[in-house]
Amino acid sequence: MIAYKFLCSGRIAPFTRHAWPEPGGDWVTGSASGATAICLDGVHACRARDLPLWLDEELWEVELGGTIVESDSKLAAERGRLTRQISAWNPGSASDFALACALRTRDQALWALRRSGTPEELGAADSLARAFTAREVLAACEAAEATAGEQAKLALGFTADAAGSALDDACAEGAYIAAHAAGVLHGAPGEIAERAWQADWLIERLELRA
Amino acid sequence: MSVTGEITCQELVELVTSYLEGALPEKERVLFEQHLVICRACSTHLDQVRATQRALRGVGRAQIDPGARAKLIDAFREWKSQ
Amino acid sequence: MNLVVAAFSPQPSKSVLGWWQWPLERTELPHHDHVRTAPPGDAELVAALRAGDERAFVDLVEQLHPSLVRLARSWVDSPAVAEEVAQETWLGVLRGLDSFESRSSLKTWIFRILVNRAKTRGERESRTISFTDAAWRDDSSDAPSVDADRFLGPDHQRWPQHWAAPPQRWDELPEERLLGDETRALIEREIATLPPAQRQVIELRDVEGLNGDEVCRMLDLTPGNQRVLLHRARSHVRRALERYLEPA
Repeated sequence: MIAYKFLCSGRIAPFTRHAWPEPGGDWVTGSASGATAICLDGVHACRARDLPLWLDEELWEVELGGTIVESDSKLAAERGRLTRQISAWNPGSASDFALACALRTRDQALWALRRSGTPEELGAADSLARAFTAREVLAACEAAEATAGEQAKLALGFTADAAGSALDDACAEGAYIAAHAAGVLHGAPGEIAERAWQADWLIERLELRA
Repeated sequence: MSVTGEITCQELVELVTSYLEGALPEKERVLFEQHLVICRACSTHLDQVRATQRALRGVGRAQIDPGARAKLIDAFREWKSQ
Repeated sequence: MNLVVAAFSPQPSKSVLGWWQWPLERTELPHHDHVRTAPPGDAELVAALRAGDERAFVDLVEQLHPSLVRLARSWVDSPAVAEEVAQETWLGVLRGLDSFESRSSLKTWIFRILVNRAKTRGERESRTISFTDAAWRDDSSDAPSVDADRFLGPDHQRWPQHWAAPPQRWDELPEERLLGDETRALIEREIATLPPAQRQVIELRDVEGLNGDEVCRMLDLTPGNQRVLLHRARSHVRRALERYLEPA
């Protein structure tokens, strides 16, 4: 089965810190028996829809072997090996993704401002809608805050947070903020939808098999 | 994809030891690691705990008191001669 | 089959006693208790001791004696008595050498002897509460491991209970600050102020590198108890390090 795996620079697993062999090298194996053991000690990997939750420096396609256990947010398998690096995932695309998430959060703030609908808020929404870089988004949020109602203030706060992450190129953080904001403003379905949008963005941009 | 259950930073710092001991149940372990992905501050805290462990290892290297060492050599020779 | 962890293949140093210089990064990883077998070189060392090799004994003593004395102090107050307990431990080691079965590592076995002797001696001294106990923190305190004021409150609108400001990175400091003599002295002082149970656990686990199961058996603790003690003890030391490394 083909799946994906995020690693730190140099094929280093983010939590166990061990170095994965290059493609064509040995299988990495975990505990051999039982579904529980595999979840705990097996090789972890992502389906395409899990990608936004596990973002890191390098993205690899990975082949999984033996028993495979699916759970909410990941796969666990008895063994795995890297097949190819998705080179389209790099600091440039990560940065674009972080900005995309900030702009999605910005769209939530537009929704909140327009829904509330005072003249000041509508004006602020128009300015915010014209922001296209993280810095512009941040500036527009700061300007809008003073005259914004409760819900809009909340949404603007999240937007500023996400823009801050984009400025730091912290895409995992930005993606989380966007999803969390959607959840706060629209409930669990909002958060699920946001994460699905993020997965779709990655699948399309990186030309992955869904 | 799970939207239920998230841990906060304040909760995470209390779980660090259980995590490093491998004692977190699977569900909590996943939440812990998902949180690390999105929270640079908590990753830094975990690294501080690791650095603390590294520093603790260094404590073991003290010098033996020469008098104690001499006594132990005597004891060894006596044991050996029996 | 255990996880193949290629980057951490152990590389024991040349000394026959190199086994505690293994890459201890293993203990910084989650699920590090996988490795159970006695370290390489253990069998050789035991054989050398049984054969009366004085050099081997002296090397071993130089490596472990100060730690034995320091650990004994968590059961007995007097440095002189702690020294006696450690000396007696070595006698116990020599006498028990023939029947040592290598079910645990030699180091674990030696510390187990020390713990038993120190406990017995501590009870015999019927240790009374001295004024220094005032410096010891309450063992049952529910104090959080990181001060509450480092986090946003539960009523923060967007990020309840998240860090108010991120902690500082210590890997940007020179290694010497973390591993030098001053730091070592600071940590020893901090350990000496811990409640005895916390002190014992952190010494055996983090300073000496013994594994969790062994330490539970030695100290008669459940894994849960041990984790709580280890968590509190490490938190105290981390805070002391933080104050030292990041003067306000």
